[in-house]
Amino acid sequence: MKLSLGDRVVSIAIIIIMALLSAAFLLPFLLVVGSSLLTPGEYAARGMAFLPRHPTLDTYKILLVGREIWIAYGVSALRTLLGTVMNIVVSAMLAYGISKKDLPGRNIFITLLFITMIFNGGLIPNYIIVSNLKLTDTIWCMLLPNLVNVWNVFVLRNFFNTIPEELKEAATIDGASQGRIFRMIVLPLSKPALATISIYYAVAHWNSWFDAAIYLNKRTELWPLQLIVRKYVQSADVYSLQSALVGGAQRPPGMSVKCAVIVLVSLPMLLIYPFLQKYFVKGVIMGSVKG
Amino acid sequence: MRGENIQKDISSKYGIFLRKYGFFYLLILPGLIYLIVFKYLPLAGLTIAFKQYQPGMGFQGIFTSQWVGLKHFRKFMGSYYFGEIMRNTLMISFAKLLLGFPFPILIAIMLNDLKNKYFKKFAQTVSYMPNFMSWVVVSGIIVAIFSTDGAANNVLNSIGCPPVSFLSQSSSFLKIIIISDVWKYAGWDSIIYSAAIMSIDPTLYEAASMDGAGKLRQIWHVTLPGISSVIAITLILRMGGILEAGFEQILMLYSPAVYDVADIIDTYVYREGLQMANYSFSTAVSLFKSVLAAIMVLITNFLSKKVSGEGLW
Repeated sequence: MKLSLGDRVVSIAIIIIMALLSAAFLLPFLLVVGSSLLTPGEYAARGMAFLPRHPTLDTYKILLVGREIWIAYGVSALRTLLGTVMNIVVSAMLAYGISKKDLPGRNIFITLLFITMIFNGGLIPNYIIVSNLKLTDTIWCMLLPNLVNVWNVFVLRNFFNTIPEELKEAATIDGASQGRIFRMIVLPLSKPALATISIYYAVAHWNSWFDAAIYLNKRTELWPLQLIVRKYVQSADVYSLQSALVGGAQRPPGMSVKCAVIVLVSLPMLLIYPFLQKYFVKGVIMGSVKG
Repeated sequence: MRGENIQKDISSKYGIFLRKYGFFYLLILPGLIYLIVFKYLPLAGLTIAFKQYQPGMGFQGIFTSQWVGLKHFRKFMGSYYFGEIMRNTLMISFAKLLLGFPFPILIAIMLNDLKNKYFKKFAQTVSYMPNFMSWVVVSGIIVAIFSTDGAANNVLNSIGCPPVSFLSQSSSFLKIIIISDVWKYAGWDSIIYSAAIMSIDPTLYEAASMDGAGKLRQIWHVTLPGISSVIAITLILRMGGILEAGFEQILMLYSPAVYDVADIIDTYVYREGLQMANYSFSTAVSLFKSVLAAIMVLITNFLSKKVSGEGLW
């Protein structure tokens, strides 16, 4: 079908607009990456830059020579790994439990779950519970209060419902226990859904900072990397922070340090993300089908 | 003899019940415990909005502290900050809605028109990325651009203008908040529209073009109506969240200099509750917001049903 002139103009306009938008999405981050590679001299002369003429890794060196960043990386990684495993195990168990259609009381459970999606206690009541359970200043304050996301449970439940009853019945006739059916039939068949939901949980953990901020007041060595980044970004002078930044004669510009920590915390996500994109997108579609 | 049989009947009924359902109840148990401890206990804790709960009262304090009725609500609504906080919350939310609602739709429509699949994939990927950065990271980017030694001021400096404190001036602060919010979510939010667009019957486009409709007309007469139900539902959900003005974002970026436009309900709750330890008062404010939000959802759903027949339930 030949396109009219008007249509071709529209198509070209769309391409231009999308190109500009793509630049708008990319450039701010590229600015931060570029500026993290600035020498003090170049920063004094030009300020922030996308492409430094004399890039240097000095900023990263002084950040990584100390222990602070490494410890925070470790905390974030531990929290993400352990947290996601806990999330997906409890969520899958819960989802499979409520997926059994003739389970007595099933509707009560589902209603209980649904209510929590709409109403919640708010900041202070949650804080009271968590602090009275003595979870503050431990790693558990980052792992337990967010153990289950009800939306994810419903997505998993909908997926479990698509597994044919005949498969399970056949296994029962062959003498398999419910546990075996769950482990050997249902779970392997649910890999795509489990993978997608796990990724959602993992991203949420990696990006979390507020819970750690309010619950980890004394033991700052338990701070996830996001909180360290926040500390740097919000400080007026990064060299006045207590993190013992090793400064030499030529200290990297404070702004470069801020940019470098931003890059450091974003790196894992940026590296993994392109490979996982299709899971994320599938998840949105799975979640939007009303079930 | 008979008694024995009845005993056997009862215990075997239990046995059958357990064997049939026990596994599933066991599976539900951890999640259930979590729900009770971390969702329903705090819901019970909401009652401190009507009491005089002090820090240090522990769990029991939720139930034993003194009842004061609507005292905290009256204090909030009569306070100096009430008008400002409500206005800020609503203004920021509505501004984000006005700018941020059409953008994902436009992006989805434009992406749908792109013929080169490499460019399309690239544009999609790049648009989703800001969604996966935390507000700490995005705030960092904003600071890198707009702080007094950031890129924007570098440019101003190089053309001889004095530096501008974008993040400490109320008007520019607001614009930064709103635009960065759209920047972060527009791409991701467009996914649901892209999926809806793909489910539109292609013959409708053919029919339209045979009637002489060009691309823009086709978008207006075929694409938009085709995704209208998704638009309606998304709008209802957003209206329900109209009192969420972006707590994490604002908390990262605001300062007392811009409280007059940036202080929203949630930041007020945070300061009063966690920093000033006015637990009961802050909970009352938070409960006030939740009730209002629930009413918003009900009203928007009702209106939407009246106007377009679409609703959440």
